[in-house]
Amino acid sequence: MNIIISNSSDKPIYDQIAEQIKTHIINGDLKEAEMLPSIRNLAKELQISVITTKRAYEELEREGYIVSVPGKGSFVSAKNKELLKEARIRIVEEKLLEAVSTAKTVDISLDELQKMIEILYEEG
Amino acid sequence: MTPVLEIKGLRKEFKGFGLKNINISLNSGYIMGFIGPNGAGKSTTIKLIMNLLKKDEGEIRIFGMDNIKDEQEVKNRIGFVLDENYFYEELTVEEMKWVLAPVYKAWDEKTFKKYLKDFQLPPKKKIKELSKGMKMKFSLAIALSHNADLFIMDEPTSGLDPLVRSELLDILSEVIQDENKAVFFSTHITSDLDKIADYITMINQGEIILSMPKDDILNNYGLVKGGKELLDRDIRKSFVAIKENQFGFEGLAKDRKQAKKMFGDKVVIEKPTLEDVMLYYVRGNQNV
Amino acid sequence: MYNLVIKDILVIKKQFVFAFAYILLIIFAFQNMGEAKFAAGIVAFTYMLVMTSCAYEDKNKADVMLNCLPLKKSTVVLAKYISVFLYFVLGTAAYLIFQYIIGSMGFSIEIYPLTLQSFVGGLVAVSLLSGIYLPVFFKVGYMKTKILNFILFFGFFFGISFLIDILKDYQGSALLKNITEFLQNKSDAVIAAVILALVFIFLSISYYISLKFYKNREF
Repeated sequence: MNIIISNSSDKPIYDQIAEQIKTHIINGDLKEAEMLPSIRNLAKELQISVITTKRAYEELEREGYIVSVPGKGSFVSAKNKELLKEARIRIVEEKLLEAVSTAKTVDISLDELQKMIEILYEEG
Repeated sequence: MTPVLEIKGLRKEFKGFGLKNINISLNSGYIMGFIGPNGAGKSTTIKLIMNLLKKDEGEIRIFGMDNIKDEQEVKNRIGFVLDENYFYEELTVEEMKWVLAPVYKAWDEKTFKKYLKDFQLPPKKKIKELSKGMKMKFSLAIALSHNADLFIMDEPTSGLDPLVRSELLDILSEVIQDENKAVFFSTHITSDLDKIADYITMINQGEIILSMPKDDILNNYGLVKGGKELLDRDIRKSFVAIKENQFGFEGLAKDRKQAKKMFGDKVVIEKPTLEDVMLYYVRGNQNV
Repeated sequence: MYNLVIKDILVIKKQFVFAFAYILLIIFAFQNMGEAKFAAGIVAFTYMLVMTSCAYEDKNKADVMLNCLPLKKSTVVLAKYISVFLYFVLGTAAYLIFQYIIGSMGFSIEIYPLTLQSFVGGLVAVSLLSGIYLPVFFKVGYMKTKILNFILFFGFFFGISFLIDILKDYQGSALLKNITEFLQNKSDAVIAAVILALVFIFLSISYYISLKFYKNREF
């Protein structure tokens, strides 16, 4: 999982972290019930204050993306199933759109495209 | 939670200088940067904490205990790195350790040897033959080898190159992974703290100017740059200080968002560094 | 505390060479002093080492470090007193060893073996010297004691003859008669014990004064 922060951005660092983790969760990089790095470890790695990482996790918890268990750590919350599903559907649509427009540029017909999808679906 | 370090109403008078009503509170698990210009009172405060100076008034509690009544117990758990080397220069690294180790209840020889190796400190080398950076690392090795819970550093990086400074900060980051430890770090090189400090306490002329989470300082304060015609008496009050030059002004505003609302697009607003904040508080208004 | 005493030897390692050389010197020279040789020698030996050790404390500003450690001030002060006596013991041992070696080498010099009087005399002299010097050192540090050093060291030699003159004046006094009567019948060992007891009391007072001064110091 990559977390890249910008010191010169106007956006507070805790905000940048929370946003990026949210994206990772929606993208599926972080799976349900997966454990997040500890706030101290994250602070050390990114060379920022532990108060910052704490705040980022607090925001994520408030918005329902993660759950913090005292003494154990923070985990991606299961409540996201619906959110995740919707986000994933969006991604599928996006990718299909891409496939459709690319197909059109090389004159692949709708029929041929559908056959390709069938084969791929069965294989994968 | 009992703060690891708690200073209340500390006062100390000297001829021509004095600490007035110092209040500081630090919980374990955090790094507090103690910043201020030279002569502001940073070393004096630390000497009072270590009972090297006698306070005129006030209370200093460490680990919940009085720093004078429970002096030995408190000092057993404090690791210190001072601005100068106060060890016996004629002794070797090893000999100095022989003198120091028996004093600490929880001395950890294995850890010390590991740090000697990591820092590449030759045990049989005389302390006076070590470079400034190596002397600081030796202090650090001692401080880290007796299971201390509070680390007090008085300008440990002054006069050291950026490489050694960055190595020290890495080690402090490692130390603070244990949420039962705390670090109190005084410096006038604020760039060291821009990244890793959790809290910042700023002192000037013996008085505490501010004490708050570093992020709050950097997220809330703003460097506002614009034309002088934008300033009037009331607007000036909302700034900590303003620097004016021939072509405009630059000021430190306490609330970035408010400044944005007030000036809109007419100004450039940037995130300040700790040094900017310190300089504006210390130097006040300037006409360049 | 032993670590502080050992520190007082390690830090001044180099000075020991000169100090031991001096012991060798007095065994050969100062033939006219006779028995008092040892006393004079051990005072100079100890003086050299104590001054050097105190000088290094100041030079390194070691007080700052020592007071950041979980060390009681009483331990720091006591260690210095014990160091003085460690120097005394080392000097005495050196004297005895050198004496023996030189004696068996057959030089044509008079060898004055250590007598109880000389030993006690030396002990008393060293105790007086350090008992006066150390409290001042703990109050103001080495740098400011330099003048005192000078006064003490030379004052000692003049002071002893001055003391003897005074004693002569009091020859006929009742007090002196009582004391001499008391001591007449006692063996040397008992006299020595009495003197040692007095010395111990003197040093204890010196220690308490040193500690009081040191406790009030700011670094």
